[in-house]
Amino acid sequence: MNISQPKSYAGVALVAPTSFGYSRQSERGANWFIGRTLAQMLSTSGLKKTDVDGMAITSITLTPDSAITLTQHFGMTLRWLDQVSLGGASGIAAMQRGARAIQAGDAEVIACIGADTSIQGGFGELISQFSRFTMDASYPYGAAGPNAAFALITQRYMEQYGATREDFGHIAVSQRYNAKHYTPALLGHKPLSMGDYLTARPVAGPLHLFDCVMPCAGAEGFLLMTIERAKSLNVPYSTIAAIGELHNAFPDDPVQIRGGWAAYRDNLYNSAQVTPGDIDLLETYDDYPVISMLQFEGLGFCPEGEASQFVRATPLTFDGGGLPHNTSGGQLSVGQAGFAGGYLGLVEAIRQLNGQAVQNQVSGAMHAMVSGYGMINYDRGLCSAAAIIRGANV
Amino acid sequence: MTGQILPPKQRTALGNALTAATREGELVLQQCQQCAAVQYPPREICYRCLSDQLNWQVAASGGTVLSAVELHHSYEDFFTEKLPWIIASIQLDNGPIVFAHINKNIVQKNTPVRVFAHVDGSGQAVLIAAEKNSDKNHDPALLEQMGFNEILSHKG
Repeated sequence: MNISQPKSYAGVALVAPTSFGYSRQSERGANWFIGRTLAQMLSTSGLKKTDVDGMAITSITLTPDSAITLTQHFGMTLRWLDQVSLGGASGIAAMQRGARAIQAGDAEVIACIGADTSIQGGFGELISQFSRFTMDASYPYGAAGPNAAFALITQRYMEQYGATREDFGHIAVSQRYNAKHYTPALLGHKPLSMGDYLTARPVAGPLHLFDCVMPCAGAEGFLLMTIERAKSLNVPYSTIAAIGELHNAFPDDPVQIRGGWAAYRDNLYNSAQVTPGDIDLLETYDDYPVISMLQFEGLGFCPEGEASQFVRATPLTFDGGGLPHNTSGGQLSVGQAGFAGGYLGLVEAIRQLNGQAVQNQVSGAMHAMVSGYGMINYDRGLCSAAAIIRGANV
Repeated sequence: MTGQILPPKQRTALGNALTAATREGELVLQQCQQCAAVQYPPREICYRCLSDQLNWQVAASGGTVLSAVELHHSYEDFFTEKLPWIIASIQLDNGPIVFAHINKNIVQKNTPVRVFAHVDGSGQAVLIAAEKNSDKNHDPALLEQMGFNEILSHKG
């Protein structure tokens, strides 16, 4: 598929990366997570609520509320508003929509927030009614949410390319190490060895406990504004070097062993004028390790089918000198706060390039690749997105 | 034996329509009256030409196993008490990919199978993959395991 190269995202600043309120379960609603994340972003950037004239919201537990009803909850008058429901691609997509609005002058300060709560039993209800295809064609077969679809994908990938569970384990174990250096990560205090990974209880097919994310509550957010505005506020910022998206890519592939990234990665690198070797950290959407592998391949860090060799040869920890990957621990070690999981990697990348990471800072990070993926409607994830984020001093 | 615990009953209106159209032991799928595309899961619009002229028709039942896995966890008690439970993705010869219940002796990748529908204990149609060359219209061991006893008793 030939995708033309989009215009530049020059002039837009990414400010106030914020991760908020992570907990296993919460009695609070999504409204609370969104509102408190907004308050925290305003506080760290020295802005007033009335300075925000745009908002992009992502949440699956916000129902029956929506982005528009939140304006009344929060007492805000906005001239730009969007609700981005692209699962794991939502953060990058919100940034893309918002950045264009900033460039066009449709808004001056846009708050992008992904947030979800997690209540006892809520996950089972969510997955049983996730979509029409889910209700008619996967849930009735015993599929517990996306686990079955990903077990089928992982099994096929292993058969086709000779990947082993240990290869997936490299990803999970490295991320747990990173999470130990990132306070909000819910599983960061629990060490994970390769032995622990390999002997964990089975969930579905080749997937075992540590291949699956833990559902939780939490929120992620950042602000978009012009670089001039960020400078006037005297806050750290980073910029957008490139963004790509492709949804329901390669629909004729019988099993999803590649995502949409391959279709636009050349555009990403051309727009940003960098190569994979210039990328200082990579944040993939890690709902399962095999999907991170598809992103390594699709984004050009290794050839198709060779992610196993890549992870065997490349340290993935934030301080390992290889390719720092999912530097906050990713969803596998932080937890998956619903659709906020689709913001987690992006917010972490902004934090890194703004120099605002604490214990897990990748030293000298100038370029980050972030990718998103998601919406398991039936047998595959439908969304894909990726972006190259650049430090302000590059 | 399943006792009182039944398989998941909830479907969309189209899922219910699939059940209504199902003829035991055959595979009934949506077919577009305009472009002849066969599709699954059921939907309101033809994925190829966007027509809404879709009929339920008996479809060719041949297919091959793409991938099959054992589930060790489910949110449904019906499956939980039978774990591990096997689910397969099947590429039908006429295009669609279906998830189906399957017996453990035919789960190898590329195994030729035939796919047919049965009405389960909740009164809903589910798809079952059986050995390609089986001359029977069902997979008795799997059906019994799934609690299709009433259906089996009606078989000649």
